[in-house]
Amino acid sequence: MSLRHQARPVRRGAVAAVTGLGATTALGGDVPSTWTALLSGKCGVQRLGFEMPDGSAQDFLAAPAAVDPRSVLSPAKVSHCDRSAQLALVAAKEALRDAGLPDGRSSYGPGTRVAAVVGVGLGGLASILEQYRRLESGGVGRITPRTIPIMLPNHPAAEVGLMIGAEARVHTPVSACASGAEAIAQALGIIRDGHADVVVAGGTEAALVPLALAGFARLQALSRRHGDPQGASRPFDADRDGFVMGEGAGIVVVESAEHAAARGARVHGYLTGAGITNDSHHVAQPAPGGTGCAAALRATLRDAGLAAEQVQHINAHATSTPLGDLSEAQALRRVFGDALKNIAVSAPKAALGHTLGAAGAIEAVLTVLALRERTAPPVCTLDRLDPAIELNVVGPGAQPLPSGPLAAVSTSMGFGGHNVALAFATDS
Amino acid sequence: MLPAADERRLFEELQELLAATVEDLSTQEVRLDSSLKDDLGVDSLALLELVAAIEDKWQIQVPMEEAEQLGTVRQIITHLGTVTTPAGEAS
Repeated sequence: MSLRHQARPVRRGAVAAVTGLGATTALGGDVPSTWTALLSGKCGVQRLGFEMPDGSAQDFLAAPAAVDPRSVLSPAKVSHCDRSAQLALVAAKEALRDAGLPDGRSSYGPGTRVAAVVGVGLGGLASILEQYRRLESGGVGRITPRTIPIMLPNHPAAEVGLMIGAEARVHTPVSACASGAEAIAQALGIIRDGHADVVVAGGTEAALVPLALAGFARLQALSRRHGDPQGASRPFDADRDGFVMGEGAGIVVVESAEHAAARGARVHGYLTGAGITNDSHHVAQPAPGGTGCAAALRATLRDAGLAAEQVQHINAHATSTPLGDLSEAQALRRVFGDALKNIAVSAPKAALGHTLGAAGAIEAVLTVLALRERTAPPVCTLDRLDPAIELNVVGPGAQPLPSGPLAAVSTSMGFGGHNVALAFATDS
Repeated sequence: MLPAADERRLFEELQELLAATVEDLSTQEVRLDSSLKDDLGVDSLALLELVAAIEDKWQIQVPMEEAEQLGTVRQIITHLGTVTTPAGEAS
C-alpha cells in the first residue's frame, strides 16, 4: 500500500507519533531491561581501570554499555563500524522491530520515504585514536581503509541510514550533549515539512577512552567520588560534585500521526513540540539563571500548545554538576513557576551516567515510557535535595503519574551553549 | 602445488576472514571457486579490507596490483601458497 500521498507538508505545530523505541545503556542492552533496572533504582556506574598512553594504569568512573554490541551485530558489521555506530545500530534495530518494521527496507510500503537523523557528541574518537596509533607504529599500510568513513561525525547516521534505506535524507546534528535531543527535534521538523513519512532519530556515544575522560577531568567536570561509584552521579543532590561519563544510544521511530494510523502502528505516545536556543554566553558554562534553557522550554511549550500547568513530568538534563543542575532548576522555575509543585522531575543520569550525544535521545525514550507507563523513574542517588533546587525530584522510589492525558518535557544542554527541549504527550 | 592439508587449512582461514570482512556473508557461503566480486559481494572497499586482513594475518605485503588479480578464493589460496610456508609462516 502506498502511503506517499500522506507525506504532504502539515501544519506548524502538528504532532508526530512515536511508534518505535530502542536503547542500549549502562543498565541494559534494550529498552525493557533499561526501564526495569531504572525503576528498581539500579545504577550503571563503575570504577574502571584504563591504560594510559604512557603505559600506566588509571581509574576513572564510567557507565559503560551493559551489553557489548558485538553480541548483537555480525563480525563484519562490527569491524566496519566505530563503537558509536555499533551502539546506534543496536538501538535502531530494536526501535524498528518495536515499530513493526523489522526488515527495514522491505517492510515499508512502496513509495514510503524514510529518513535517519542520528546525533553524536565526540563521535568516533576511539577509532581515530586507534588508527592514529596504527599509523604511528606501522605507517599508512597499517590503518584500515575505513579510517575516513569511521572518523566522520556522520558515521553512525550513515550506517543507520544504510540499514533502513533512508533515501529521503540523513542528518547528523552535532551539538555536544544536546545532539540526541536535537536529532529528535529535527525529526519532528522533517515530518511536519513532509520530507519523509518515517524518521529514525536519536543519538549515540561511545567515547570512554582516556583522552575524553582526562579532558573532562581537566575541566573539573567529573565527580571525584571514586570510593563510591554507585553514588557518584547525583543530580540535584546537595553533595553533587560532577558527572560520570557513560556510553549508549537511544533511537525513536517517529512518523506522522496519519501515517502511523494508516499502517495500523502501535503508538507509544506523541512528540508534540520542540524548542532550540543557544546561550551565546560561554563555551562550557550555562547562561546565568538558565535564561537560554528557559527560552528553549518556552519555545517548546508554545510549539506544543501546552500551558505549564498541563505538564506532569519533566526529564531533566541534570548531569550532576554543581553549576549546571542549579542553572537548569532556575530555568525550570522561570518557566513553570508554581506549577512545579505538581511536576515529577526525573534525572536518569544518576543511573546511566552522562552519555553526551546520546543522552537526549535515551532520555526521550525514557520520557515516552514514563508517560506510557504513568511512572516517573527515580533518581537513584538522591539523598538530600539541594535546598537551592526547588523541584519535586523523584526518589528514592518511582512516582506514579496521574490518570488522564499526560504531557512531559525533556531538556538537553551542551557545551557551546546549546539548549534543546522536547515535548511529549500521551494523546495527540 | 599446495599439499591438500595446507590448501584446506588456508581455505578455512579465508572463510573466517571473508565472513569477518564482508557483511551478511557466512563461512558456509564461501567456496573454493567463489568469485570475490560476483559471488561474495567483495566491492573495492571490501577488497582493501580483505587485503589488509590478509597482510595482518600472514604478515605479508600484497601490492594492490597483485591483489586486483585475485578474483577467486582459490586464486588467493594459490597466492598465499607461493608466499607462505606450509606451517603458515611468511617465507
